[in-house]
Order: sequence, then C-alpha cells, then structure tokens
Amino acid sequence: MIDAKPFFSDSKSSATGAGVPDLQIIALSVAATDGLPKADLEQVAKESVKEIIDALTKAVPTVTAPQAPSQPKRAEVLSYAGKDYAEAIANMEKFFLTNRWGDGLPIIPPTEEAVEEMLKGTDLPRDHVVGIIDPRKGIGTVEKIAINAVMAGARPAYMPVIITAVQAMTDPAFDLYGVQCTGGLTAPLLILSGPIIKDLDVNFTYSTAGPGWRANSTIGRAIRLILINLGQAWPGINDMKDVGNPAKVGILIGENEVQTPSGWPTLREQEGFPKSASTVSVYASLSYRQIGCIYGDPLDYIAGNMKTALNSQADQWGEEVVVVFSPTNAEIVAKNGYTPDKIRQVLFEKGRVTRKYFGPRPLGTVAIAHAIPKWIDDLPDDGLVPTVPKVEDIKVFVAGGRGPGCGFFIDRWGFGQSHFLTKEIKLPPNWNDLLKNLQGWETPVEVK
Amino acid sequence: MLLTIEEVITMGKEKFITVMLLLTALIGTGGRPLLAEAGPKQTLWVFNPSGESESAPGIFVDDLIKNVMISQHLPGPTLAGQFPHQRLEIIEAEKPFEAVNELFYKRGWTDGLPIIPPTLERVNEMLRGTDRFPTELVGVIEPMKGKATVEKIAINAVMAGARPEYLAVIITAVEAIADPDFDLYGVQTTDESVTPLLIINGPVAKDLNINYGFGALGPGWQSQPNATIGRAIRLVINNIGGAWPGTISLSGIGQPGKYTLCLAENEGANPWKPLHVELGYDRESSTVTALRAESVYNVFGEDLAELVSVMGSLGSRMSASRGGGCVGVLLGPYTAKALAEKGWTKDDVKRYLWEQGRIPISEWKTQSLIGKTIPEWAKQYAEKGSIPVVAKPDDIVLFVAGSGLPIPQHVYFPTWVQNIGPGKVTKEVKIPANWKKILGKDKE
Repeated sequence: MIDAKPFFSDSKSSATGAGVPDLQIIALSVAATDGLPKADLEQVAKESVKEIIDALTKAVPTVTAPQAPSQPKRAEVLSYAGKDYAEAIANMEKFFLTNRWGDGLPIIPPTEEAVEEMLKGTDLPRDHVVGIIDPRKGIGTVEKIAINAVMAGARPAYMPVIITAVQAMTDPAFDLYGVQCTGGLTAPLLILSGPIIKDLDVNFTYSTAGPGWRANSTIGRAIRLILINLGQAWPGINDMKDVGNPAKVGILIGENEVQTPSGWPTLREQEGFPKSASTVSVYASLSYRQIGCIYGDPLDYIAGNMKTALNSQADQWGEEVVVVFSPTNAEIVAKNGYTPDKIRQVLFEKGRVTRKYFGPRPLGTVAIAHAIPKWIDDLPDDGLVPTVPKVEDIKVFVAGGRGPGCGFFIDRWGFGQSHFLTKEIKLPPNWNDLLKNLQGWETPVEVK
Repeated sequence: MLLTIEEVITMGKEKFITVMLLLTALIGTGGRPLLAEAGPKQTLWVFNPSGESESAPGIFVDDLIKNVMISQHLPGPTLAGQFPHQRLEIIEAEKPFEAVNELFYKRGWTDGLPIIPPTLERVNEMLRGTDRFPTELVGVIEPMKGKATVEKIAINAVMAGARPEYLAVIITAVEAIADPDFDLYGVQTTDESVTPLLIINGPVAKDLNINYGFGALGPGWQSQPNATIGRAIRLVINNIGGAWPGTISLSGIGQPGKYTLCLAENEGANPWKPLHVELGYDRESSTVTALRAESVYNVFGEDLAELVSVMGSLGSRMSASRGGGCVGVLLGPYTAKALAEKGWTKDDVKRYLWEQGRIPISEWKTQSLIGKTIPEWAKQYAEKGSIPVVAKPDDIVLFVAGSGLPIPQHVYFPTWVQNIGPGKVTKEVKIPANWKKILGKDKE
C-alpha cells in the first residue's frame, strides 16, 4: 500500500485493525500528491521506487499482532485521591485526559454508583455487546456505553437513545471506520424524531443544533466519548481530519413536529417507521449551510446550495444530503402546495451541476469508487448531473424556531460510502420511572 | 511466635534466619508481637516507557516479543507484556518506589539496576530540557521497531537517573543510533557483544560537566552525566527497541558497556583538531558521535607500539574480516602531546596505526571459523603478510580523553560489522532555545 507520510501510522493502525498487520506500506515523502507539478511527482516516485519494488518482491517477516480478547472485560475500577473531592476529581480528569480518555471538556466521574444508576436506563444486561466500535474494534458493551454516558453528563433516561445511536453507527452501511479515520472533515450528526422528544425534553426549536439543553448536548457528547474511548480514534494518530469539525462535539437535532405543516409526514414516517415510534437517525455530516431566505423561493436557495456545495463533484458523490426546514420556510413552501416528496423532486431536478463542473473526462477510478453510473460519465459537457444518486437521498424535515426563515442545508462527508441510517428506539419497561427521575432536569423550550 | 534460643538453634538454617529476624524484631519492639501493619497506601502515576510498535498504536513491542517468547519457547521476564496498554498507570502501594521497581523489573523494563519511577511530575520536569514537542518522532528503534518519541525518550531518561538538562544530548544520541548507518538492528540481534559508544564534543560537554578526564569511562561522582546519558540510551534500546536479552538479543555473553558507555573528548588536551571539527562541524557546535564498540581494551604505552599490537590482533577480526566499519582509538593526553611535539599530525597517527596495526596472516589462520580464507578486500594487503583492521585510516576514529597525569593510558575499541553502514554516526545537538534557563535551573 502506498500512502502519504503523515498518514503512515494511521495506515499501520488500519492494517492491524483489518487483520493484515504485515501489509507493506510505503510512505511517500509528501503529504499529498494532488496538484504537484510533474517534476516534483517524479522526484517523489524516484525516492520510493526501490522501496516499492522491494515490498512487492522481497519476503516479508510476518508480524503477529496480539489476539483481541474474545470476551469483553469487566471495567476496571481506578481510584483517585485528593485533599478534597474537587481535587480528587481534578486528578481523575488529569489522568483520563493524559491517557486520551476524554474530549477535553470536564467529565462527570464514572463512579460505580453513577454507572449503576445509568444502567437503570436500559433493560439490556451490562455485558450485552451493542456493537463493535471502529476503527480499533472496541467492544461496545452496555456497561462501557453507560460509563461514557456518565462521563458525558447524560441522564439514565437517555440511555435508549444512546444505545440505538450506537447500533446505527455500527451498522456497516454507516462506514464508521471511514467516518472515524478519514481526512475529510466529517462529524456524526444525530436527529431525533417522535414522542421521545417531548419525554426527554429534547430541544427541537430555537437553537436545536446548539447548546442549552442537557438532552441534546449530553447525548451527542456521549456518542463522541464512545467514538474516542471505545473506537480509540484519536486526532493525528488515526483520526486524520486535518482541521476537524466543530460539530464533533456531538450535535443532536430534534424534529419540530409541533410546527411541521399539517399533511407533511414526519422524518420517521418518511424513513418507514410508524408515527407512534421514536427514531434516531445518524448521518456523516460535513457543513451546515444556512438557508436564509426571507424574500424568495427557499427551494431556489436550496437548489443553489446543492449546486455549489463543493461535494457536488464526482469525488464526493453518492451519499445523502439533509435539508432542515425552519418552521417559517416550511410554512412558505407548504402554502405553495409543497410536501416533502414534492420538495425532493424539485431539488433533485434543479440541484444539478454541469458534467464539466462535475469532474474530468473520463471519470476513471472515481466512478468506480463512488459507483457513478456510466450515463453520467457519458454526458456532454453541458449535460446536467444530479448531485445525489436518487431522489430519496434528499432528506427533508422541520426543526428549529420560527424566525427569519433560516434552516440548514447539511451536506455530506462524501469521501466514503456512509449512509443516513434511521433506527427505532426500543424503550425499556421502566420507562415511566425513568421519566419520573428526569423531572427537574427539564428546561421548557420556547415554541412560538 | 516466641521461641527459646534452644529451639532456634535446632532449626534448619533457612528457618533460623527467618526466625532470627523475627526474634530481633520482637526484642526491638519490647516484646510486643509484630503485627503485619498495613501502612497508608501511596499513589504514583507512572508513565509507560515501552515503545509503541510501528505496526499500530496500542500494540507495544512487548506484545511482539511475547509472541516470539511463546512461539519459540524462549525465556523472558515473568510479567512480559502484562501492563495497562495506556500512557499512564496508577501504582498504589505502601512503598510505591519499590513497587514500581519490582513491577518494571518483572516486565523487563530495567537493566537490573534500580530505576527512578517515571512519574508524571518527573517526566514533565525532564521534558523541560527540550523545546521539541513530546509527540515528535525522533526515530524508530530496531529490531522491534518501537517509536522513540521525545516523550518516550524522556520517560526512559528519568528511569536512567538523568537530569533534564541532559535530554537534548540523549535525544541526539537516539537520532544517531536510529540512523540506518549505525545498523542498530545488526548490533542488537548479533551473537557478538557490541554496544554504542557515545563520544560528546563541543560546548555542551562543558555545560553539562560530562567527564572527559579521570574515570570518564567508569563510575564516580564526576561521571553522573556519563553514566546516566549512556544508561538512558540503553533503556531506550531495551524498552523501545525491544532487544530483550535472551529472547531477541542473542548476544552471547553481553558486556559491561551495555550498562552505559559514554564520555566527552578532552578537547583542551587534544593538540590537534577535536573529533567534531575533524568531521566537519564548527568548533562551537556540539555533537554526539556513536560507534559500534565491541570491547574496551585498556592499552598502555608512551608511544604507539602497544596500540599497534593490540589493534593488530584477532580482537579486530570482525572489521578485518569484512573490510567495513570504524574502530575507536582513545589516546591519552600525555601521549597525544608527546606525539604532537615530535611533529606528528592526527592524520600521521591514524595512518601509522592503520599501516602497523595489522593482523599477521599466521595469527589470522588460527581462527576457528573463518581463518582458512583471506577476506577478498584484504587480499591485496595479505600478500605482504598481514591484514589491516579497517579499510582506510579514516575508519579509525581517534579522540583524546583521560587525565593530565603523565601516564599513557589509551583505549582501543574494536567494532562489529555486517557491512551495513559505516557504524560511525555523528549528529549535531540541537540546543534548545531556552538553554541558559534550562542550565540555570539546576546550578548548585
């Protein structure tokens, strides 16, 4: 395998994780080959050609990586001391962060008592494996998830959401491995739909994608901690996102069903679930592009966004895009007779780019990597390329508060094949008790 | 339990000792029974000195070595590979200093001598000796290819007992041995007993009081930098390179230089150019030169006759058989001065040693393994009856060290060679920007 120098240890890590630790990896002396003049590329090639030939022709000493444990281990208990509780916690945080078990923000100590309390949020046994977390294949037991949930500051009643989100992210269709390790600046986004929003006092209106509500912030953060501590992806080592993404802190958007125009199906219904269910969707998001349009057709704005979003080009094609309508925008388009299905259709038709803009001719390996159909490659230069493979790939729902009409067009990671996935949240039998325990934690949302 | 003296005397020797101690303890405490008192537990946060394998983060060289131990039924430390695979661990014990020593020893992380536990505080203190980032990769250490980051080097430096101001030199020494020209892989996996010799030149030697005089190659109060800098490298080689003796490093008998082998050149007593200037560096630069030193021969003599004799013996067979590598000659100040006064230049001395210090063919042939053949490279010389020790005079690394006494003590360091790299690597010490501050901190 030939890779760029900064990614060498990341590649080694991946090779081991994938079960081929003795994969020969050649590190080119440059960080990227894109855009280099021919002479420079030739120099780089010259430097590596002997290594490449050796790697292909010489016998390789086998590296036996240690066997992964087959049984999940019970979590260890560690102790920290101080002259008072505050100092002991500070010591714990220092230790945790030195070992890279955190996201840099203060953590709630995952004491035995706190974890026991958190485990009341699910009826699954503590040793039950919810999923294997890429890239280092950490075993995501209910217990480990609970520990990270405590650290994030989540409440036990949030556990069903967190567990379901982990299930969704460990579905192969989400490509968690890619999402964790990519150089593309993606962050997993969570979207809630259903009665659970009201139950858990999730903010679905003003600033739903921002801070202020424990449910939104701590569920998102619990997922981030799970990805760090169980997936063991750490920036610069095997999480190679150049600049990172502020949304990595963990964003949870709640659907504003209350102000969804009548006649519009909710997100969960669009995804094929009954209205009575509650669902969580996971999405490898990239940028949050404001749809701010008081004067004019929101659909034109969005279509324009779809055209100009950088990942309307071939090398980032193939994943879904998400359109979050603010209640105001939704009202405007609904008055003109639009429903989510019709909106999708219009955006699919209008949100297209020219073949020339889309990519080089022929598309070559990019077409294979992104499963781009031949008819697109064969279009004339001024032919129009849809920016998503199919009309259902445009997700539409309502969230946020009524204001000047600013929603989000959220575009996709694009480098990989990670898909928007929705899973139903199963509630434990003691749900009502859990909700009773949540009382006092709620802050009413401002629905105007 | 209380015993009479008679009972004590009639017991077996082993029991006697145990009981004797108990009795003494009882007497000491005025007859009160000696209870096993659980003292208050203290906590140490200790860094992991082991090298992360280049194969993947999370896998340490210990894991790879353990696989070798198991698959090839080789001996190894009792707790090999048994440690939390994380950056920092908590040690809770009544006597944490001893507990860490015991634990690290059993994990194969020491050289057998006591180490300083690399606590969070000590390692952070050590890292003040450099302005480089802790995560910077200084080199990959053969043979198990562990990653020597600045932090990992600092951890091992703490264990060795080094002071923060030595870190810049230690890092430079790691750069030197990690250079392919040094062939550390060969050094660590051969059955011969070879170790890096570190020679330090330039102002840094004076700044750090690195011994270049009395006892520079031995222990003592003047040799703390020598001892700890050399030892830090050995711990890096063991813990990050993973050359565990008996498992990976099959060097037959080892040698004392594998504890530490480090000194500075006595530049003041060198009548010619100091080593680093000869090698092309500015006088005001500081350098570390690493040689593959197989043995440390103590040679006496006012002139070069003894040196010539010792060099031209089967002690030099490795470099003579391959025609590669560099040998080291430490010339005492007294002799250096005498030679210079007679008009000899350093090149004259090297040329003389190279021409005269040759292995007679008759002696060559007495070798068990390779005595029957004359090495290809030496055939042209063999016709005249002897084999040079190295290919050319410049492959003799000559430097001056020792006290000012009028006693001509020299050292000859033969080398080990497999014709990968010259085995002589010099690296310039990158002096940290805040060097004065670093030095000022520890002035007595």
